[in-house]
Amino acid sequence: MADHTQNKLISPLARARGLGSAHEGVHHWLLERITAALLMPLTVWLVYSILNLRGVSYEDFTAWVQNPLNAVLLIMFILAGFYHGAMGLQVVIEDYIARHYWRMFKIIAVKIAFAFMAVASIFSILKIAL
Amino acid sequence: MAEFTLPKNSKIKPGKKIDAAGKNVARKKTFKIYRYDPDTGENPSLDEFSINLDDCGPMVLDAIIHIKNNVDSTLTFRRSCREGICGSCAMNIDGRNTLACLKPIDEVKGDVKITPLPHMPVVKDLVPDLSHVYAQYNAIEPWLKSDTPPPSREQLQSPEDSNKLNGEDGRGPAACILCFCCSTSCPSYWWNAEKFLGPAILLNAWRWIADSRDDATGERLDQLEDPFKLYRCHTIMNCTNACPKNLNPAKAIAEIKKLMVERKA
Repeated sequence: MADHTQNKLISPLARARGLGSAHEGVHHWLLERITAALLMPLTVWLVYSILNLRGVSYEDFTAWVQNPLNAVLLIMFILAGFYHGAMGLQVVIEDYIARHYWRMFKIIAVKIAFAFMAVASIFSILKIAL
Repeated sequence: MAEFTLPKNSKIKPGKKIDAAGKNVARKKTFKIYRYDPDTGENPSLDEFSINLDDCGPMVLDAIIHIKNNVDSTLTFRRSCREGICGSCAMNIDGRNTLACLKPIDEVKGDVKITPLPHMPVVKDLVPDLSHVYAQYNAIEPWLKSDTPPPSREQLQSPEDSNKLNGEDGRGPAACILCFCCSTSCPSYWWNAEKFLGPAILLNAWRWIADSRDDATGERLDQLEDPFKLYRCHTIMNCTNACPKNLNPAKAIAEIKKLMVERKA
């Protein structure tokens, strides 16, 4: 790709057309908005719960996590949050990193890192809850 | 990493100062104009021309024509119609992209700073190289595409369908004059002009998608569905803010995004 667009001898139309459309993007755009909408009530719930849990003992806290509804909502928050975060960072990287391979490398690295953090968080919740 | 600083050869030096207003002038105004001459290979400079506003017309274009005719004939800029319909004299005046012919000098407090449209290659002075934006315009195939045999007489269109193009107030997408004030005010276009089509081109893409006589809507959407061509738009809305014709490219792009979702459901 880099070679193609940096070739000074190609016509302006060839440069504008580039490698054509990737025929994707709408899924990413839609999921970013759905996860954002989902995160709004989940964040309110989480902040409210954390405020209520101030000062409680370890046993009371683990009992709270063991409540099935709390565990499921926590996992939903982790999934939506990390998914939304990874997609948002991808957009930032696509915006500002000009070099093609460096851009691709960073997007893949962000996705792996966020998947790792999400899995680790969900594993921790399940370990307490189950 | 991301690149935020100007390349060395783009840094602007102070330029010459010419006072052509004469003495004891009540309506004296100074124009600070970006100059770049590719033949010298020197960095661009900001030249200052002071003129008597009683010697020229009311618009910024009148002033720079006056400067070219009477002060410095090497000053280079595009202009044609002088009434906001050709889109040639698009430039950045007082920090905003607009048409010099529609911008009254009186609206600018203090000195009038004029630079070319931002983030475009400069051919000379205020003349940007538009070959890439024109090629991008060409790439969306801005003409009626129809596999239906042509009717024997004019093809009918309802007033509602016509309004989608012309707008009830005359500010529909078909009123775009391709001055590129919007595209060159868009930060997303600055960073990714190579692949992002930018507001001007997407507004025109919408003009053909919205045309009831065009058969190629799906094909046009296929061509636009791309993380860069369309989805670099983050609804920053500088485009709508900048448009000297008061059109709404941001809304046109939102309509395209809505159709992208609609055809999935």
